[in-house]
Amino acid sequence: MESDTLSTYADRGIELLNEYEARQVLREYDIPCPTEVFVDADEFDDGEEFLNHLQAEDGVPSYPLYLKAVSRDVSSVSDAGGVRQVASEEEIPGVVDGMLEQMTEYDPSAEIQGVLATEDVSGDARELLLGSTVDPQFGNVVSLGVGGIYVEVYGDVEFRTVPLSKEDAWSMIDGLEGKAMLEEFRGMPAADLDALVDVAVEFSHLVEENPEISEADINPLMVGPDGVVAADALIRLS
Amino acid sequence: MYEELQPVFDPDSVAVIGARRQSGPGSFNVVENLDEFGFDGTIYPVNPKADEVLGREALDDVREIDEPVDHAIIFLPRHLVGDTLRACGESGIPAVTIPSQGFADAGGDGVQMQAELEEIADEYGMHVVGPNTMGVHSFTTNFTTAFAPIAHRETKPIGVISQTGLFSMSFPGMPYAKFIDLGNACDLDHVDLLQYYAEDPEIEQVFMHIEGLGEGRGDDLVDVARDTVENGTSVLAIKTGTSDAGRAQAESHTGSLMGEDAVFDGAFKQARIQRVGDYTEAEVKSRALLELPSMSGKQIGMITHHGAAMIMAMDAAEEFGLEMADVSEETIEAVAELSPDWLDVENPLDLGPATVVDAPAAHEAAVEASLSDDAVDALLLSVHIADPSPWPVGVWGHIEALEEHAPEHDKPVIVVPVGTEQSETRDRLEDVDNVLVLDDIRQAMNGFRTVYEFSSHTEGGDH
Repeated sequence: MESDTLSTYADRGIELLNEYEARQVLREYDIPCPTEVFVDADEFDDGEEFLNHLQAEDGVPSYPLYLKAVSRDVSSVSDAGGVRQVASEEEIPGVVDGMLEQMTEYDPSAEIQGVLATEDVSGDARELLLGSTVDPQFGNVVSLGVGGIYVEVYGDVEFRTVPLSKEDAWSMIDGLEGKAMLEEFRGMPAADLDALVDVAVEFSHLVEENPEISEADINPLMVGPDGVVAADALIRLS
Repeated sequence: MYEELQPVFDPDSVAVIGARRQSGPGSFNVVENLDEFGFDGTIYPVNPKADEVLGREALDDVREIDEPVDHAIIFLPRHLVGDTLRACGESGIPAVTIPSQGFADAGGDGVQMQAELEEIADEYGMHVVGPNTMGVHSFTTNFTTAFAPIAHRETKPIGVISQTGLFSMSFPGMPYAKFIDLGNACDLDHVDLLQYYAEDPEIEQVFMHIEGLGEGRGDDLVDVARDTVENGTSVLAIKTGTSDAGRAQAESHTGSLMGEDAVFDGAFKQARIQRVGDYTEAEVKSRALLELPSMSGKQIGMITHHGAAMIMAMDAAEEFGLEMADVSEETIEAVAELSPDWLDVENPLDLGPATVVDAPAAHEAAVEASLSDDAVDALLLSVHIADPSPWPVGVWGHIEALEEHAPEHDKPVIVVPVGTEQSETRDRLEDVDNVLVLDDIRQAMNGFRTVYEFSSHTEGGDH
C-alpha cells in the first residue's frame, strides 16, 4: 500500500471509508477537494454544540456552505437526508438537529462519525463520475460517466483498464455521448478538460498503487471552467 | 513466442493417438485429413488395436516412437487423455492438441480433469491446444489437427484465434492462412497466440473471436495488442456474450454500472483493437486494412452524380468521425470547367451535369484532380453502373479513369456501385491497387475510419 493515509485506515480495520476519510486519500494524490472542516461526533451532542466547535476552527468555508453528515454505514448520505445547504451561521443549529434526526430515522443502526462543513462547489460545474472497480479479467478498471447522481439513469459511462494514459483519458471523454455538456453551452464556459484528464490519470495511479482498494467512486466529480473538485467520494478496501 | 509455438502450426512430425482404421466420410480420420491436406512431414499413427492405418504401421504407445515428435493429437475418450498426455510429456513432445470433450466444457468432474491436464502440461513444459477443440489449421504449412476433412482454398495473410470450431474452414469474407480453436484453453490462450501471430512473417492481420478471457489476462491482452498494432499488424475482434455478472453486489456506482461488454469496449480502444459487431463488418474492416494504403488525415473527397448519395455520405462521415474535405481551387476548377455555369462546384463533387456534356473528360478530370489534391486523404466514388447505361461514356466509363489513376497515388479509394453491374465492378477493380469495392456508403466510411485509426497508431500519429 503506497498511501500512508489509507494504511492508517486499514490498520484501524476500516473497510468502507467515509466521505471525509476518502477525500483525505484523494488529497494525498493531488486530486482537488472542497475546502472543509470536519467536526467529530464525539465533540457535540446537538446543533448548538456543533456550531460552537465550528466557530473555533480555522478554514471554515464561506456561506452558503453545505453541511454533510458522515457515516460509513450509509453509502448515499444524500438519500438519507444528510446533506443540507445553509446560507448563514444562524441556520446551523436547527439544520444540524433536523439532519441528525432524519439520518436516525433512515437507518437507526447507522453510526454517524461527524458532520462536515464543506464548500459549495457547484458554480458552472458539470457533474461527472470518476470511479474504479476490479474486473476478474482486466484487473483494475477506471470509469468516467456523465450525470452525478443520475449516472445510472443515463448509463453514459466509459471504462478503461489501468494504467491510464493521458491519451486514454482523452479517449474516454471523447467516447461519452454527453460530451457536448462539457463544451461551452447556454452561456456556460467550457469545462476544464485538461484538469479532468490530469485528475483521471492521478486517480488511476491511486488505484494502481493501492491494490487494497476494491471500489472507489468520486461522484459527483464537479468539472467546471476552472478545474475539477471531488464533491463526494467513497473508497472501499478489501 | 514464434519459435516456441512453431511445433503447434508447423511440425515436422506428428503422432496421431487414437488414429482410426476406417477412412472416408464419417470416419473422423485425422491421418487421412493430414494426407489429403498435403502435410509432408512424418505421421505416426498410434492405436494398440490396429496393425496399420492408411498404409502406415500403427504403434501401441507414443513412447515407442524412436524419432523426435513435434506435435501429438490425442483423439481419445476423456478418461484416457490424462495418462496419454503424461506419456507425450515423457517422450518430450512440445505441442499437443486435445480435441476430446467432457472437461471444463461439461462441468462436474471435467473441471478437475482439466486442471490435471494443466498440471501435466506445466510439469513437462508442453504447450496444449484445447481440450474441446478443432485444433489448428495452417494453410501455409499444410498442417491440420482436424478430425473433419479440410480443403485448400485461396488465403489472405490473416491469423485467427477462436473459441469455437464454427470458423474452422473460413470466417465469412476472411479466408485466413492460419487458424486456432482455443477450446477450453487449459494452456494456450488469446494472449499467447496474439504474440505468435505478431511475430509471424506470414501474418499481417489477426482476427480474434472472444467469449471470455482467463483471470487477469485482459490486461496482458491490452499490452500485447498495443505492441502488435504499433508494429504494423492489425488486430480485429468480435466479442460475444454480454452478461453482466459481477454487477449484483456492488456498493459503488461504478460497480453497479460495469457490464462486461462495456469494459471490453474500453479495453479494445486502449489496445487499438478494431471491434466488429458481425461478419459483414469484420469483412469490411479486414479488407480495408489489407487492401488500402494508409491515411494521413480524415478528410474525405467524394465523386458522385447523386445528391442523395452526398447526403448519405455526409451522414456516415459524421457517424464515423470523418470530415468531408475542403478541396483545393485546382480540383474545383477542373470540374467547374466542364460543368454548366449555374453549378456551384464543391466537395462532394457533383459530376451529374458535366457528365451529360462530356462524360469521359468529366470522370478523368474529377478523379485525377481529387487524387492529386493534398486536401483529400481518401476518395469515395458512389457511382451508377448499369447496363444499358444512360451515359454517352458507356457502362464502364465511370471507372476507367480510376483504373488508370488510382495506382499512381498512395491514397485509399472506395467505390460503392449501384445499378446492375455491382459484381462486375468488383471483379474489374479487384486487382487495381489502392481501390476497394464495397456494397454501401456507410461501410465505406467505416472502412476509411478503420484505415485512419490504424494509420495513426502505426505511424506514431496522435489524434
